[in-house]
Amino acid sequence: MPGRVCKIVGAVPAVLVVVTLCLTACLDDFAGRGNAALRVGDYDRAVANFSKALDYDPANRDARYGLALSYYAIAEESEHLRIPTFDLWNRAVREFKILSNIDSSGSINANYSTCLFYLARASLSQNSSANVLPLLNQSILLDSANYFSYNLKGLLLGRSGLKMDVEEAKKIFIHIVTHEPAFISAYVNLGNIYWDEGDIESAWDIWSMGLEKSPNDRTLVHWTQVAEDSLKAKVLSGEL
Amino acid sequence: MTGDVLLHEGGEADIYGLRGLKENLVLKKYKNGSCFDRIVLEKISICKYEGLYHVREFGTRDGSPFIVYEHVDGVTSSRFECMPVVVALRALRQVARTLAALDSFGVHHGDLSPANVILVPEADAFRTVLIDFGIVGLGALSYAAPERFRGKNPDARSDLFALGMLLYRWISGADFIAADCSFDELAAQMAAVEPQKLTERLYGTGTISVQELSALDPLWNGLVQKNPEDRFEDFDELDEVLEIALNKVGGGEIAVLKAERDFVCGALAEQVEKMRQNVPAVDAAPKKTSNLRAEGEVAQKKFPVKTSVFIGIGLILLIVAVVLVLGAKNSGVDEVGALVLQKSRSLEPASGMDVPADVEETLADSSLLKDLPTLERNP
Repeated sequence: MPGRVCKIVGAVPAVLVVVTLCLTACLDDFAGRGNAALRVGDYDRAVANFSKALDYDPANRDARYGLALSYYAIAEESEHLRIPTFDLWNRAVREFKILSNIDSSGSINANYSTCLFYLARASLSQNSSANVLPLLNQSILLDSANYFSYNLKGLLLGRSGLKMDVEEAKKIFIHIVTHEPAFISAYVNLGNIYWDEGDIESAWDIWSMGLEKSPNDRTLVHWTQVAEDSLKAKVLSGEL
Repeated sequence: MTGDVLLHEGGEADIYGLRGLKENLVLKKYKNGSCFDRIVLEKISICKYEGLYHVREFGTRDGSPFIVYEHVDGVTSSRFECMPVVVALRALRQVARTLAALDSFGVHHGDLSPANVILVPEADAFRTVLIDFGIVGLGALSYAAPERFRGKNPDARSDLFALGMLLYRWISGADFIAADCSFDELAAQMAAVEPQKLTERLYGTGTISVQELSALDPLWNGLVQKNPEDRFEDFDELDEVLEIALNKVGGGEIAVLKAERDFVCGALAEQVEKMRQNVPAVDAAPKKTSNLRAEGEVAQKKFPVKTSVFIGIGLILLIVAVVLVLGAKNSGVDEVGALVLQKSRSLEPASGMDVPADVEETLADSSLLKDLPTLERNP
C-alpha cells in the first residue's frame, strides 16, 4: 500500500508537467500561427489564432499584442482603401488599452501612440469638430517621438483662431522641424500660419527650408514660388 | 400568499417576505416619500437575466410605491466581512456581465453596494444576483461616483466607479470611504480618490499578497478614476481586465474553481445557515486573516507529507515554466510590431502599398500618416 501511494505521488508531477507542456505548446502554437498570419497579411486568421491563444491564457502578452497589431493592421489597410475607419481604430485602441494593463515595459508605447493618432484622425474625419486633443496628448505622452501626433495637434491649435493656440501651434511645428527635419508637413503647416498672419518673409523662409529637404515636394515648390513672387512685388512697390 | 413577514425595516422602504404555496416573493414598500424610477422598473421587469432579480409587479398602493419581486435564495454580499481576492473577482465578473447586458437596454443600476448583490450557492459554485434597480437619488454614498454627488444621473461609468468601491469592500472588508461625515465632506473625499490610494491601503492591511495587489492595479486604474472618461469604456473592457487579473491571481482555472468551492462550502454555506437561523452577520463573519492562518495551521499538522509533495510539484512546475518562458521568449510579435511601426511612420513615399489602381491616384504621395488635413488657404 505505501508503495502504491509513493507511485501515485511520484506520477503526479510527471502528469502535471506533461499537461503543462501540452497546454503551453498549444498556446505557443496559436500565438505562432497568429504571428505567421500577421506577417503575411492574413489578418483575419491572425485575429482568430491570437484570440484562441487568449482563450487559454488571457494574460498572454504576446498573443494580446499580436491581436492589437492585427486590429491595427486591419484598420490601416482600410485607411489605404479610404474606407471609414473610426470603429476599426476604436477597436484597436481598446485592445492596446487592455494590453497596457499587462505590459508596462513601454515596448508597445510607440504602436499604441500611433494607434491613438489614427483614432484621432478618424474621429476628425467623422466629425470635424470632435475634440481629439486628449487623444493626441495621450499619444504624445506615450511616445514623444511621434511627430505625427504633434503635427495634427499643431494643425488643430492653429485652426482654433485663438492667439495663444496659434502661438502654441508654431512652437509645435518648430519642435518638429528641429527634431525631425525630414517631416515636410510641418514646414508646410508652419509656413501656412506665417502666411495667414501676413508674415510673408517668415513663410518664405520656412517653406524654403522645407524645399531644401524635399526639392520635389509640389506643395512646397508652389508656395515657395508664390511667397517669393509676393516678396518681389512688395520690393518693387516699395513696401519692403 | 399565505402570509408575510417583515424582513427589514429601513429609512427608505420596508421589506416583507411573502410566502406562497408555489414560490416566495418579496415586497418592497417605499415610505417617507421615497420612490423608484418607473422607466427603469418597466425595462427590467421584462428582462430575464440569470444575474438579475425578477420583478413581478410594481406600482402604487394607498399612496405608497411598491415593488414585488421573486425571492432570491441567497445571502447579500454585505454579510461577508471580506472575501478571498479570487472569489471577489469571480463575483465582480458576474455582476459586470449582468450590467453589460442591461447597459444595452440603457439600464444602469445607480446604487451598487454589497447589500444589493446576492450570492446564491449552486452546488460547488455561486452566482450573483443584482437587486434594487431604479433608485431615485444617490443610493449608498460610500459607493457613489464623484459625478453622482454633483447630481448626474447614473450611467455605465458611474456604475463602474461603484464596482471599484464594491470590489475594494469585498476584498478588504471595509468601505474605502466610510459614510460617516457630511454630504459635502463625503463628496470631497470621493472626488479625491485615486487608484494608488486603494492599493496603498490594501497593502497596509497586510492580508493581500504582492501578486494580488499587482493584479488588482489595472482594475483600480480603470474603475476608481475621478474623471469618468478615464474609467473603462464599458463593462466588456472591465470583463477583459478581470479575466486577466483572475488569471494572474488564480493560479489556473482549477485553482480558481477550488477557491470558489472552498468559499461556497465554507463561508457562504455558513452565512446561508446563519441567515436561516436569523443570526446577525456581523458576529458570524469570519476574519479572513485569522481564518486563513488557522486553516493553514490545521493543514500543516494534518498533511505534512501532502504539503511537501505540493512544494515538490510547485518547484518542478516553476522550473518547467522558467524553461518554457526562456524557450518561448521570442515569439516574433515584437519584431512584427517594429515592422508595423516602421511602415506606419515612414516618411518616404509609400511606393509599395497594396492599393487598387483606381484608388492610387487619390492617395498622397507619401505615407498615409503624413497625409494630414492641411489647412485650406487663400493666397
